[in-house]
Amino acid sequence: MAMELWKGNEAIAEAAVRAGCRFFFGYPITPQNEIPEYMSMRLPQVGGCFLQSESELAAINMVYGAAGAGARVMTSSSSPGISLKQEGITYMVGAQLPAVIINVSRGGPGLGSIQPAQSDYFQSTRGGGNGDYRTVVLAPNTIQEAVDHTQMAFDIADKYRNPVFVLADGMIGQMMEPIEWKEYKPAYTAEKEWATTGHKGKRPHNIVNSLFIDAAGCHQHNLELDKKYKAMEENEKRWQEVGTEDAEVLFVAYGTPSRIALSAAEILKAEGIKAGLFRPITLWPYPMMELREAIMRPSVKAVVCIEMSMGQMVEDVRYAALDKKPVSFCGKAGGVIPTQYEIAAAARAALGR
Amino acid sequence: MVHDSSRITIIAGHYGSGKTEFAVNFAYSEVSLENKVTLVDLDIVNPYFCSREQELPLKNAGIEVIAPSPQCRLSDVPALPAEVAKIFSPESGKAILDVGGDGAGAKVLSRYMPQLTACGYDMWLVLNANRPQTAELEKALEYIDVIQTSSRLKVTGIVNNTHLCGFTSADDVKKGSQLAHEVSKATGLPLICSTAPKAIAQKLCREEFDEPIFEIDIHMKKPWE
Repeated sequence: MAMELWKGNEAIAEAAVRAGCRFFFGYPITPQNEIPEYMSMRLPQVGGCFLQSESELAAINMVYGAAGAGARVMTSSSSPGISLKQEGITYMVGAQLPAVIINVSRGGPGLGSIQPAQSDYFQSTRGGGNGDYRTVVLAPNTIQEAVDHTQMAFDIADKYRNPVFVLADGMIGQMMEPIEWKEYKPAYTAEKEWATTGHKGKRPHNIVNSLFIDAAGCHQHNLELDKKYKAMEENEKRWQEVGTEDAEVLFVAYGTPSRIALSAAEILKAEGIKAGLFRPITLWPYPMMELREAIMRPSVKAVVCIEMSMGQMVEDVRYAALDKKPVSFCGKAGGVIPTQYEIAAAARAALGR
Repeated sequence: MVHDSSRITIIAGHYGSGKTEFAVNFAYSEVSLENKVTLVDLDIVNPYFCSREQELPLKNAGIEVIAPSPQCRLSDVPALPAEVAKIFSPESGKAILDVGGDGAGAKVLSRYMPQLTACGYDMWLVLNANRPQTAELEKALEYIDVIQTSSRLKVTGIVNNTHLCGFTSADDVKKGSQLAHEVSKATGLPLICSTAPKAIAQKLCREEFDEPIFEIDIHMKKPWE
């Protein structure tokens, strides 16, 4: 297959269509506007439905409705818009509805800036809505991965009947990169027998609901949901390691900073310092034990966590390090991107050089 | 060497065609001809990957840069810098207008249509045969229509800027040249040049190209490059 040049946001939208997504509901916000724009052009061509809703709240509830009817459905937004969608997301988890939610994140808090940031890590991995709930969070660092993750997200969502996040920072959404379109083969194809498609007098009513008034019943419901989260932890953890086998300094980063960290590793290599990268690909479930193993390798003297935030994932990195190795943080917030030189300097400082 | 005898050159095209990279390189090329050059960043659709990011090196090279005011620089508000009016005076020298992608980006030109028409201009459509939206003749022709309708101006030339970011090969340039020739033949518009990064330009078989090869440096880099 020939390589084609695609913009991240457009590629995410096209990937969804090729994965069978026929419904998209959303509301504009930079830096993800090309997703709804592309969907508004593309979905009518394949008999789908694009609707620009009156608000993010309306959009996520339209997603709830389409998912309840068994459709492959997606919405996208950027940080403050994702905040507005939290109620719908926790309702969808409660009602066990699959959908894909794309967050092309920007600087915060509040309206923040429209430049790339990663300050939605807590919101994405801990849940911004109420209740005990989890969602798989995929964090691509190339446009090819953004495509692959978007398609994978639909399968994971259907498999567990749970919303799945693709958390792509603004750089991934806005930049261009060559990609290859592979034939999409669904990894999960079971009929959605639970969907509210009309019983036609032939089966009992299917009910989509997140309300469990009886406390014991609600507890039981939570136990069932928890089984799914445990299965997700068992099956869906993904990560990448580059040069971690003999690294003196271990970088931990995801998304855009993970690529800058690799450039920093090249700078350090020229100085005779071995740097490796541990990149969580799923932010939840977090590859905690795998990261711990990488950190505990005898060669590792220092760990540097790099984020486009004031330090959120670093809490998980510290937990992985168990106070056995020093963990330092290198980050910029509000839409400022750390440079390879700043990261290399942070590595030297961490090693005391 | 690629030179435009028109005092105003507008660089238009699809998202990802490489308009900005071409505009920045063309500005350096024009200033090397001892021209007084102004680069106008008219991209108010999307504040990512705009020529204003290159303001400092451009200014150091003696190129004047007109860009949205600092307050609007990183936002996507449709506010145009008042200084744009300067370029319509003949003593302002050469002006290169880098507009936003697609019809939406070219729409900003419509506001200057009367002045641009009075002054005279060239509008070059930057083509990238590796972008699916402009990979075939029919699609490229549609794009010309979209840009012309939106800007209320006429495209006057084609620039083949076929690339794959850091993965561009000599074959990509050749493929783009063929498409650009087809577009040129179908529209009667001249093919101004094919571009190639310096390292790739050395690998091109020059006899296969009847248009000039415009060698470019890559200025618009990603944070890890």
